[in-house]
Amino acid sequence: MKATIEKAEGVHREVRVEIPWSTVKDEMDRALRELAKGLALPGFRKGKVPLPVVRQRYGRQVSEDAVAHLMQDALEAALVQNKLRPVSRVEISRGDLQEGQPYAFTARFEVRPDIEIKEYKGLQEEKGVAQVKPEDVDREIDRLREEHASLVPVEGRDTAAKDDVAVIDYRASRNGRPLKGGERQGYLLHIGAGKALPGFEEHVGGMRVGEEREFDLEFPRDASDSELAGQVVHFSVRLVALKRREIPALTDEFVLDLGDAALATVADLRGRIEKTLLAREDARLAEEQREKLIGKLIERNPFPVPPSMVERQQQAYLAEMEALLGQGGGLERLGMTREKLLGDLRERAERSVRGNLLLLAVAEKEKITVEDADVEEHLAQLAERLGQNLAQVKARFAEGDAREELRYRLLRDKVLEYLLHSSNMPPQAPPPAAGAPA
Amino acid sequence: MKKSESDIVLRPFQTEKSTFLQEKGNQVVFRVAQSANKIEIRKAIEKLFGVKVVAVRTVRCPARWRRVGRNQGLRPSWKKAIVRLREGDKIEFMGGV
Repeated sequence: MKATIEKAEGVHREVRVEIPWSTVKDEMDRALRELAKGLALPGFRKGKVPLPVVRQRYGRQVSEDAVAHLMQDALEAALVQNKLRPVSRVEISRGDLQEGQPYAFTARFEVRPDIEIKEYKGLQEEKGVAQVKPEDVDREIDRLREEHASLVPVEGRDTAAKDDVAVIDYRASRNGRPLKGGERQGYLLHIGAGKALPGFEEHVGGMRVGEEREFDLEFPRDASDSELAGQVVHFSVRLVALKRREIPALTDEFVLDLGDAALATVADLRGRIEKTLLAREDARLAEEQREKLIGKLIERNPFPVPPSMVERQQQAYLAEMEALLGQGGGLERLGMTREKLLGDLRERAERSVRGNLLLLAVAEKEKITVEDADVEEHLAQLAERLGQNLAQVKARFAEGDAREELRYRLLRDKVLEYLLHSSNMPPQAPPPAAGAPA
Repeated sequence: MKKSESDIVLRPFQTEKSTFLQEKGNQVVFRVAQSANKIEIRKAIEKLFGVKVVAVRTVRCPARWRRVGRNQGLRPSWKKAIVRLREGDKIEFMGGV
């Protein structure tokens, strides 16, 4: 096997590999013999077909298989020999097979760039100080109260008004035929919330308890149920009862009702929420700091990035988003096409690839590695945090991709940690308690 | 109309036995027309393949009854020719026509 590097530009490589004829011939003969062993042709018993006959009949096909097989091995050998590690798909242009001639083919692919990383120490990047405003805490508390709202009967009037929660029975029909699933009893309709079909809440508003009303409504054209979109549907509604949402007042009693033993007073609750928000904000800032650091790293250390890696990252992002939006149609409804989105993701993908390659380069240069012990430790922590059995957690990361992925993440964290500390930053001051009144 | 060469020599006859004969005595086996005689066969083969024929032997193989399920039928009788070539001459079949 002879391999010559024909072209090496940036991250692109082109390698020409030659397989000597004798190797090709041996392989072909071997394949033919293999085939002949189990072959029966008219006039011949099984396995008794002479080689020349087999060759004449199946030679072309067998030689193609044999060559494909050889190419694989030869390519691998050539890559090892030249210490090349493709990061893209290897594109192969086959040569012609000629008797007595060595078989040659060319492989084209991209390799991971040689990154000579120079500027990475002392990249200063400040971390913002986490702060929580009293309003943020208020908002959190309001949300909590909303969640704990209860429904109480409306007293003193029996006409449905805005902000009431109407308990209704209704039947829906179209052209005189009842709709499937169009009958509900004890349905809770929050008048004025704007969640029901446009017009529905208005019709119910003003009804008296016990009253029945009939009305027609047209479904909007862009309704999610495409069968009903734009159709006129007849409703008959009976108002059963009127209730209203009562949001609990912010008192120590409310806090106690939350059922958390550590919380007894409103002040406790505020303190707890403030702490959670602070921690969240702090984590966000730490992430931001890291992102900025990576940004600087990328800026200071330019290198050619393999297009195929960027492409793969783009696809990964796209798949992620599609999974998030739900298969089929999710994108289109947002007025996006795959192509457009891919384009938008390009920059992000390239940045991510560059960042990762640079971090790996730093790791290599600084001999930062992730040992098995590190992984074990992380898993133990994870198990504790999730409150799961350590063996269970371990099993999940036992081998293969998951473990590799985890190792990589740990390495990345380690390198980032290293970079942060090597940048002569003043020691982190503990975030001062934000000036929120407790 | 005069019979053409390919009307006389129909196709090569490849079996274990024919391979054996070829290796042993430079004999080649063909399926030939029933009406062909040895002289015609010799001439046809010499012309078709550009070889020198030393001897021709013919065999008339009988028709045979064959049954496929409940259908019974007669497979036709046929003739094959065993042709001995001059030493050194060879016939190579491409694609086994």
